[in-house]
Amino acid sequence: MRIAVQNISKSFDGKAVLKDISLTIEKPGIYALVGPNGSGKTTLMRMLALLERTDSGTLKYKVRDTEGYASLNTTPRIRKRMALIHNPAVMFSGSVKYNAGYGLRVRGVSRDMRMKKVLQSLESLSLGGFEKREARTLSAGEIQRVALARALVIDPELIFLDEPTANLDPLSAKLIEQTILELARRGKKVVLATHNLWQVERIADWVWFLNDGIISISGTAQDVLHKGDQAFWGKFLGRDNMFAGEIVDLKNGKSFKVGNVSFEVASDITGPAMASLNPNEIILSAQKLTSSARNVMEGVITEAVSEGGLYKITVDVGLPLIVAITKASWDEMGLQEGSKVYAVFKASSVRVWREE
Amino acid sequence: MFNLIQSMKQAMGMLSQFDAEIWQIVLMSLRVSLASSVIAICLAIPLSFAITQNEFRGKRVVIGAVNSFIAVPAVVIGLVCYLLLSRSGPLGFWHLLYSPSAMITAQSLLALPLMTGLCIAALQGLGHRVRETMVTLGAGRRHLTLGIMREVRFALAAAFITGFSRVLGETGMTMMVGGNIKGETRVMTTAIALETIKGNFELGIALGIVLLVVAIGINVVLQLVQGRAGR
Repeated sequence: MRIAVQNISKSFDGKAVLKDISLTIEKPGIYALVGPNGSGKTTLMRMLALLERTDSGTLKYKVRDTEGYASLNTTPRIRKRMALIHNPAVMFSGSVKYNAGYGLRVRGVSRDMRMKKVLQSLESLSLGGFEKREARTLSAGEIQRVALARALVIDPELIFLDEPTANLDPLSAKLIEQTILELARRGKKVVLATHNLWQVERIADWVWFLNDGIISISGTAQDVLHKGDQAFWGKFLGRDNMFAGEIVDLKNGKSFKVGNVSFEVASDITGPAMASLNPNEIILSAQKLTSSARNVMEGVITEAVSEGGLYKITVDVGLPLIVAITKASWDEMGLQEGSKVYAVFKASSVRVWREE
Repeated sequence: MFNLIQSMKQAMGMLSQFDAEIWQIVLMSLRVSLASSVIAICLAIPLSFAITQNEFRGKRVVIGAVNSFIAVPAVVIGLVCYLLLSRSGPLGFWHLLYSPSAMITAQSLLALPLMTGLCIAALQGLGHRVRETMVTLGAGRRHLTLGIMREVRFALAAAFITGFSRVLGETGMTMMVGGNIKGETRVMTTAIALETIKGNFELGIALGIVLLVVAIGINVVLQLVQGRAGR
């Protein structure tokens, strides 16, 4: 199925949410709608999923084996070829099995076939044995995985995911990312609306950046995120581990200096710059590690905040470094505030850009 | 002088001996109130779906109107039904006044706004995301309606029980349109009122005990259902 969007606009209560948006979704792959809160990405996704009407412009769906584009009065037929997953996902009252089989039930699939497909789908998301559990009593991560299993069981051509891994435990987030990649490999089109640029960088093929209701940047993830305006992305990434400093030349590389602290970076710029570091890409170790990672910084844990299935830890290495680790790691390492640790990260994990 | 203990003893005696008059009144009460509640819920569910699942101009006004009708005093509904069904009224040719059908009609009208209001609240409380999720999974109109009804089934049951409890305890309106005719339209509430005025306390007390047991029973069921609806 192909989608062609031409000049669509949408307002709510007189406020323009989307202005003159045009895009096409043609090839299989992972498409990311990125943008700050209120930029219109969720509204656009809801329109693509035929849950919201446009004020103006056209939205065309071309279904395989048909001539031309289908019109909107074939909505139910088109809808059956796609699925949308909210975050947090909605679970119907009843078992995981009932939830996961809902799409097949409304398609009149026999009980035996339904059961077979549901079990397969649950298994693929590490939910084997969950089928009799009450869906609403599951954890956020499990609910999100059931929602994905429920969507996949109907084998949609196009899958929309709204913030698919926000507030999830790392295991669920990883499983969901792997499933998304697998779907793209199998020739499906996946559209994500997300804040998470790190995730976009990891998995997206194509990016639309929405700001204030317009697509301000679009292109492949590589082009948009690496060759684009790094200062802009830096701001968008938020404040965790964002530092202003200076890049200095070393004998065989570059170092980023913030006050008395410095760490190695992979960059071709020199002089005043900004740096940011994904908290998920830092490893914490109780002993000094010998590895290929260029940066090993000794520090003391000053704060640990529980967020979803993660601990967000502040390590004072001369500057406050935010590190995200799982609760299991926190417990197994016997960490606490005041513990001495080593923060380990690769030079290539540091994103740098010229300060303006 | 009224002897409470004596009357209580007599009332218990009547109940334990399965006094025919008492049980006829109890059965008539349950029959009329159940019938009216079933009619009202059969109208309230589609009405609440039509109101909540569609977007139309004046939707809030309609919901406001439904909620306002809940406040209409039962006696006014009784008066309107009486005027419509009385021999000289526009529906007088049906000869329904002072019949169980008249009582069922009036009680249905009393329960309808209450049940509709509760069903609307239940459907609104479900939120649009459940509906959207069903739509995105391919549910057509029929599956959507059935799916949503399944999601709010306990709240719909609670609406039914609340309405049933309301009409079962109704006196004045039922008296106006039913007439409290012995063996025909006499129900628990109207019988208690009449027998008490007449000084037949034992019959009043016996019926009062049954009504109380039924009311408490309904309340217990309602609490259980609401407990599940709230999950």
